[in-house]
Formats: sequence, C-alpha cells, structure tokens
Amino acid sequence: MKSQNIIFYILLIFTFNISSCRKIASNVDPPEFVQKLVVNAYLSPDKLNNSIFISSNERRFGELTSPFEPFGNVSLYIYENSKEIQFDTVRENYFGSGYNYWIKNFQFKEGYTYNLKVISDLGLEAEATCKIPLKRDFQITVDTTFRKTTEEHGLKISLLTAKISITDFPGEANYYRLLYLYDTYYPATPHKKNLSYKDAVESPIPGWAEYNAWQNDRVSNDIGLDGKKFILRTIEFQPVYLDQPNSSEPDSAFLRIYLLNTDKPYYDFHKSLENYSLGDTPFTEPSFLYSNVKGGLGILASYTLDSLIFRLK
Amino acid sequence: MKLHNLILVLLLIVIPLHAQKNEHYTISGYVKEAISGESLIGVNIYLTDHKIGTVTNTYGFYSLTLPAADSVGLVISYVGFNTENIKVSLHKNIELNISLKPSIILSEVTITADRIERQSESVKMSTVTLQPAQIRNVPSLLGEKDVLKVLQLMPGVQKGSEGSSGFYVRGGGPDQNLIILDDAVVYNASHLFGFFSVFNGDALKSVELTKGGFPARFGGRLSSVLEMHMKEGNKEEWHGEAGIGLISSRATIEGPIKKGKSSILLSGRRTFADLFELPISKSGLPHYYFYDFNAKINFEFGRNNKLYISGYFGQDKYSTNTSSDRFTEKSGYQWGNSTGTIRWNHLFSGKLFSNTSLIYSRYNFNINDKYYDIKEDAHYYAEYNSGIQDYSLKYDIDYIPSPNHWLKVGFISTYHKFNPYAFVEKDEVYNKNIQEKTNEYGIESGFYAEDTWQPHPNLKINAGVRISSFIVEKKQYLFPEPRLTAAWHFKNDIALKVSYSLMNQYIHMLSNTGVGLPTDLWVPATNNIKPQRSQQVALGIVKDFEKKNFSFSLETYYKTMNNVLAYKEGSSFIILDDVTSAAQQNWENKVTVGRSWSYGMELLLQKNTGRLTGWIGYTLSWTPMQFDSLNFGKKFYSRYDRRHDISVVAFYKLSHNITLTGTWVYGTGNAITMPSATYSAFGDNSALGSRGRNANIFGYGEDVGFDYGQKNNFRMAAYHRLDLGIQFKKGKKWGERTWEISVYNVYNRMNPYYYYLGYEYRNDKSYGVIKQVTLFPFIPSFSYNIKF
Repeated sequence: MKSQNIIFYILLIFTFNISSCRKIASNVDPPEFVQKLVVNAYLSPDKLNNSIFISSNERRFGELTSPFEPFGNVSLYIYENSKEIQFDTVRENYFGSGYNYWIKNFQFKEGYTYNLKVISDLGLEAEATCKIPLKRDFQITVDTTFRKTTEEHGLKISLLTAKISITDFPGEANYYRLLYLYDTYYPATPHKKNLSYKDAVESPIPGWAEYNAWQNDRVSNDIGLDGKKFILRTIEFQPVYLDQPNSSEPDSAFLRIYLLNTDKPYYDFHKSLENYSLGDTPFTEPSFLYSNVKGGLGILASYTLDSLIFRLK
Repeated sequence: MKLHNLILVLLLIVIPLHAQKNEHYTISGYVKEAISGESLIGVNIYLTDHKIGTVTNTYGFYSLTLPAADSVGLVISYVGFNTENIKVSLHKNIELNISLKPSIILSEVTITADRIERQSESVKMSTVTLQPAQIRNVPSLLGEKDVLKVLQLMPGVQKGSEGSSGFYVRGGGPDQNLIILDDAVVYNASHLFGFFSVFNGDALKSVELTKGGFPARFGGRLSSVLEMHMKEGNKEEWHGEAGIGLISSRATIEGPIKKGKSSILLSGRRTFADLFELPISKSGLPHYYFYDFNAKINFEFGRNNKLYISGYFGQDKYSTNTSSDRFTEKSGYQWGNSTGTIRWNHLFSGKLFSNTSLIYSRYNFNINDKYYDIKEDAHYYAEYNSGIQDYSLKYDIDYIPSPNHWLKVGFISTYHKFNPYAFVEKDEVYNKNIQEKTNEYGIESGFYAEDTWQPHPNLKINAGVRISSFIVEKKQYLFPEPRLTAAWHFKNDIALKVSYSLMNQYIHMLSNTGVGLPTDLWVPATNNIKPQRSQQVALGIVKDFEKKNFSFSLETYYKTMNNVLAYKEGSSFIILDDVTSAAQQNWENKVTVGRSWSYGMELLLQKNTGRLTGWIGYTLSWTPMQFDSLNFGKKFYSRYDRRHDISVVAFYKLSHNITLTGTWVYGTGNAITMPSATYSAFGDNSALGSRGRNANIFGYGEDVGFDYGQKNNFRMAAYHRLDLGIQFKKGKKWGERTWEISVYNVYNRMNPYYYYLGYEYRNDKSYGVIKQVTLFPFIPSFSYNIKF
C-alpha cells in the first residue's frame, strides 16, 4: 500500500509537470516588425498583359491587422534601359492580400533591362531590376511511347511517355521552366472529325467539350549542358481516350509544351519556393525565400517563351 | 610491413639523438590500484631531487631513466588515492610495480593527497579529465548518470538541446567529436533519441576530452577527442554493483580469471518500462527499450606481454503494432553501435612500450514496416538501412629515453564501409521485389610522431606531426598536420601555455538536428565533397593554489573550420515513420559546404580535494558561419553560438555516509530563425496568360512567405537550471548500498525546448504570439545502488 502511494504521487507530479509544458513565451520579445513593400511580378514580352502585384508585409506578432497592413497609395515607376517609360495602370484587388497593377499601353521587350520603383505615400519604397532574356529557339522535340501497366488497384491502364528534348543555347547561362498541357476535344453535334488546333484552342467551337490538364514543371538550369541537346523531362500520363473505351472517343488530342527561358532571379525564387520549409518542428530549420527587391520583399523576374504543339491524335 | 618498417626507421633516427653518455638506469613498471589490481592512467610520478616527473600511460606504464644514484626519491600521487613515497637505489635497471590505495575506502570524493599532479607542471592544455566518481556524483535527469552530460558542464563544452547528450566543443558540431571507447570509434553516442548517452559509467575507468592542442597521435576530427577506457576488471577478487533508477536498471560484475594475472568485467544496462507494458499492451501502443552491454577480458603473459579484449554492444528499438479485422501492421526503427577491440601490449624494454590494436566498429540504423492484408492474404514488407562499419589496425610505440623526452610514434589505418542507403521492398499485391543498396568505401590512415620534450627546467614542449590520408573513389587526400603545445612554467605554480593544431576530417555526419537522432547519416569525403579542415590556436595561463587545493585556468582560442557541411535550405533529415521517403535520400544533393569560425575565452576554477570539491566554469564564445547556399551567402551565428555559458558544480561531504551534490547552469539562449512578418509570395502561376483559356495554373502552392531578415536572427530565452542531489551510503555485511534522491530543475525554470508560432483571440481581435514547449520542468528522481 505504501509503495502504491509513492507511485501515485510520482505519477501525479509528472502529470502536473507535463500538462504545464506548453505556454506563451513570456520572457522573450518577438522580433520587431519593420513594414516593407512586397513586389511580385513576372514580366514577359510573350504576355499580352503584364501585371505587377504590390502589397505590404504583415506583422506576425501583436495585434494583427485585417485584411492587410495598410501601405498607402503607391506610385509605380518603370525605367527601360535607364529611361523612364510612360504607361497606364488598372488596379484590382488581388484576393484581399494586395493590389495587382495591370500595365496598359506598353509592351516589354526582350533583351531590355527594366528597373521598377515603387513609392508609397506612407514613405515606403522598394526597387528591383530585371533583364528580359532574349527569345531563343530551343528546338523542342517530343518522342512518345505507349505502355500498358497495372495500377495500384489492379486496373490495367495505358501510359503515354513523352520525352521532351531541347537544345541548349550555347554561350549563355539558361534557366528553364517547362509547362505542358494535355488537351482532348470531344465532338458535338454535328460531328466534325480531326479538329484543327486553331479550332480547338485558339477559337474553340461552342458546344465542344474539352478535357485538359495543366502540368507545370520545376525550374532547371543548363549547368554542364551548355549548347547540348538533352532530354529536359520525361513525362508520363494516362491518355483519357485510350482508357475509357465505353465513353465517347475524343476527336483530337494535343500535347502543348511551353518552355520558359527565364532570368536567374526567376530561377532562384522558384527554387527557393520548391525548397521552402517553415522549420516548424524542433528538428528542422526554416528556409528563406529568394528576393531581389531592394528595400522590400518579393521578386521581379522575367522570361521569354518557346513552344511546341504536338498532336497525339 | 611497410608501415612497420617506417616506424622502425623513425625510431632509429630518433633513438641515437637520445643516447646516453653517462651511466643511466631505468626504473619502469605499472601503477595499479591496490585492491582491484586495475591499472591507473595518468598517475603522477615525481622525482623530488630532480624536480622532474612523468605520468603513467594509457595502460598504467611508466618509465624513468636516470643517472645512477644511491637513493632516488619517488612521489607517486593520483586523485582519490593515498600518495606513496618510495626510495630506491639506482645502480641497475629496476622493475618497480606500484600499488596505490584509495585514500578513504568507498569514498570517492574526499582525498588527502599531499602532492597530486599540478596543471602548471603539465604540457597538456585544453584538456578535461573526469573521474568515474565525478560522473557518479553529479545529479542527473531521471537519475541516469551520464558521462557526456557531465562533460557538458565543462568550459568550452556546450550542450545542444535540453536533455540532449550531444555536445559542441569550441563551436564545432557533434560530428567533429571523435568518441573512442577502448580505441574503437562510437558513431552514435545516444540512447532514447539523444536524451542519454550510450556509455555506462559503471564500466568506465577513465574519461579524457581534448578540445585543442591536440597531440599528433589524435586525428580524424576537427573539434575534440573524447577518449574513454573501460575498466579491466578486478584481478584480486569478485565484486559487483547494481542499481535501479526510474529509467533503467544496470548490473556489473568483475573478477579474476587467474588471480593477479587476468580478469573479466561484464556490465549491462536496460530500460524496463516495456517489460511491464507487455502484458497489457494494446494495438497501436508503441514499445520502446534500449540496452547496452560492455565486456572486457585481459590476460598478463609475464611482465612483457598483456592482452586485452573488449567490446560494446548497444541497441535502441522502437516499434508499434496495429491491427484490425482487415490487416495487421508492425513498424518501427532500431539503431545501435557495436565495437570490438583486441589490444596487445608488448614491452621491448623498460624504455620501449608498444601496443597493437585490432578494432571493429559498426553503427546501423533501420526503419521497417510489415503489413499483412488479411482479406487478400498478401504481405508487404519494406526496410531501409543506413550505417557505417570500420575495420582498423593501430600500432603505437612509446619510447621514453629520459625524463626529458617521451616519444610516441605509430599509425592507424581504417577501412570504412559506408552504407548511406539500402532499401528492400516486397509487395505481393503489386508483385514488387525491390532491393537497392549503395555502398561507399574509404581507407583512412594516419602516421604520427610526437615528442614531449623538456629542454629547460621551466619549458615543456609537445611537438609532432601527423600525416593523414584518405582514399576514396580513386582519389587520395594526403595532408601533413603539424601540432605544437608549449608550456612555460614560472613562479613554481604558474604556467603559460600555447598551442597550435591543424586537423583534417574525412568523414562527415549529416544532421540538421544536432541532438543525436539515429537518422544522422555518416558519409565520406568524396571527389566533390572535400575533407573538413580546422586550424586552432590557443593561449592559456594556469595557476595552482597548493595550500587551498585550488587550480585556476584561463584559455583563449581561435579556430577556423573549412569545408563544413550543412543541409541545404529546405532539406531535412529522414522522416522516421516513412520508409519510402527514407529511400529517396541522396545526400550529396542535399548538402552545402561552408566555413565556420569559433573564438572565445574559457575560465575554470577547480577544487579537487577536501570536504567541498567541484568546479566553476565560464565560457565566453562566438561561432559565426558562412555558407554560399544559406542565408544568401551572408554570415550568421550558429544555432549553438552561446555568448555566455556558466556551470557551477559542487560536491559536499556532509559526513562519512552523506554527500550533497548540486549543479547550476546558465547559458545564453540558442540562436534560431524567427519571422517578424509574413507576406504574399507566389510563384509564376500565370505564365500562359496570353495563350488561351484556363490560363490560371497553380504550380507553386506557397503563397505566404515569412520575413526572417537573417538566419538565426532571434535568441531563445536564456537557459538556467539548478539540480540538487543527496546520496546516503551505508556499509553492509555484503558491501555497500546507496540511496540517491535528486531533483532536476529545482526552481522549475520553464526553459524553452522549442518555440512555435501561435495565435490568441481576445475581444474579437487576433494576436500573433510566440509559444514555447518546455520539456523538463521540476523532476524528482531516485535510484538505489549496491556494491558488493
């Protein structure tokens, strides 16, 4: 009985202690909040409309503001090869976290350097520079093969493998991001066979059903591959029309491939997003997001585009 | 054979330098403990007439070559033992084996030696020596005595996280500590996810940590060498000891195989919580246990030959069982070290001592998962392993031509077999049978020669060079490593010391925890990943206060470390509960190489004798780092950069039977990365905005970034804690029993283990706050120990 009492009291002490182990840290001051402007923009001459997202960082400690930290009215200044340009903007609220400024009456050009200055009437300033890469022909090719396999649930399926090859442009550092899209188009009445890409994508026929799946790829670089032809990615997907024999067969199918020739800040920022870690366990370290914005946060980056439309059916 | 010849050539060069013209004779032998016959390491043998002395080596051997004399006075002293005064007539070589008696039987704290070794007389610097008694007396977490946690109380040695047995020496990471037990490297020194070390204090005879001023015989790590020796076992009679605490129970037995000639020691330790849990264990409950086992056996073949065989084996195992009417699943992980050493001591003469060691060491980590689908009658099995195995040959020679010279030459060559990754997956449903394994191999070698030389009565020098080599992937790294320590002794009790050492490290541990988790991965330097290298200079002053039995030391140091490895941002350690994720590790892609610096000052005030003993240590240090791929290439402070670190350790012998013990520690909070703000940060989701419909693709999901400013920009709250303990000893007919009651964190300081971000809601408003987890508040514990 005596020993049972001892064990009981030990357990009681432990229970008391363990229950008091989580609390607000009262003996440390949180890091001081310093307000900064946030810039997020990916400029390209291949876009019809370019936009620049502006917001403020938000305090993490103390009383939190909603919907976002006020940063006043901002003025945007853009310099093309050091010469200020004139443009119009249309501002839209972007998901309640800041404003998107659509650039009107101005087209960005490949090979030019753009300097962006953002000044708020609250005295906040941010500045960033990017140089838009030259458009390059990377000689995109696709090699496709089909194979049958068994899926996890025992279902027999066919897989399409597409090896996407490019030839790196010699004598310069290139940074890539690959985007691809698999489109299938189903016939409507009246039936029309072998829809052209123009009819399917650029000026779609009303009433046609479409199935498409955007896929985007991670960024990569050409280190060790300067001027060489190489397989950039091997992608594998399940073509809908081969595995739904009882459903209506699509009229046509395309694999659309877009290769972004990006600048280094684009690469560095997306790489830091890929590796992003909050370090929210005692055994992991948080990672940082890349920024090239002086006096602020975020990214000003650019790219040009090379593409290939590959007909699968 | 070539290595052997090289050493002989070195000796042939060196020996004539010390040829004696006058008639000289040698007194040599072993110093042992009188009761057990255990050889004693580092015993001071002082020649009163010549004002010169020596100490016993790792095997208790000493040698003094002196001019012929009618009477030579020797004073033999050692902490915890009565000092012996011996006079001998020296007209021939003398074999003199000495037995020392403990000063007070069964009491390790109070000693009465009138002339123990003084720090001001030794050339060694940046060295910490622990007595087993000190390890036993320091109050500890849950009553588990832990040699590594006692070392953390020394200046220049810092703990990592709360409760962790991992340690950081002068800004170096845990992988930069060479931990050797009877010459065998122990790669993972932690049980229970880093909370306890694998070393059972009952089986240890000596513990010495070298933080700088490395003699040439040490190599392979940048920051420290922790050298431990297991007890040999009582050569005179059978004895044992056992103990039970809140976490584990342990037992040791030792005794003679042939009285006075050979002995054996067996010592084991095991946690017991799982044993009680078994009968009532339910599906889903985890099982955990660890155990370790030490064994040593030794034989004396006359005076000139001794053979020691020792081994260590330890294992941690964690598992869970889950089941339902549809399936059964058993998963878990286990890790452990095993070491084995065969050593042969050979005495060529009273001046020439040699040791040959054959060493085996292995560390392995395993994650496994067994699944049985009852309905399908199908099995699934996956297993991931990583580890390292070493096979070493070591040969050391001590040549002691006179009290002014002690030459050591030798070599070690180690064949490393690294297994960063081995994966097995068998799946009867999908007909999978995968077996993948990557092994890497390396041969690490070191040749050294060093001399402890006293060219002037006031000057002692330890100078040497180590040639280290590593062969991996058809590439050989070969570097000379000069070492120098010098001590200028003046005013009888003060010494000024200086040291320089260059070290190379050819194997790395990948860890982003620093707490000694089993997932820490040992990998070699490769063609791409160069060896780590450090250079360290230290300057110190030592004063012995003979009357008060105090010693005081002050050291400053500056250390640079190059090619230091760290995980790249976002890379993390293996996920413990996911076998397939573990299998996708490719370590070379996950690491980045950088530099680190460490500089500071260490103070140590020690009192080794009297009723009150203990020490006060203080460290002031800085440890900045710089990696091209971390913190945008800018310098930042290491997580364990600790500006101030204080330890106060005291043992007070209240009476013959009662000892009070206490420690107080204070440390600047760890440097961690804490955000000051958040912001919208999204990837390019509209790249095809101009190209058609459905342009809003979502490639990069993160849309909230944290604004950290700098890496490790925030200091955790300062850490401090008081531990107290009391030991009640009582002699019994059969031996002695000890009750120990101790309290960890007496004033219940809520030291943060880690912080996390949280929110509070008050009056319809939202507040961002920092929350903390405290791991070990006020914790009482007790243990019961017996000796017989």
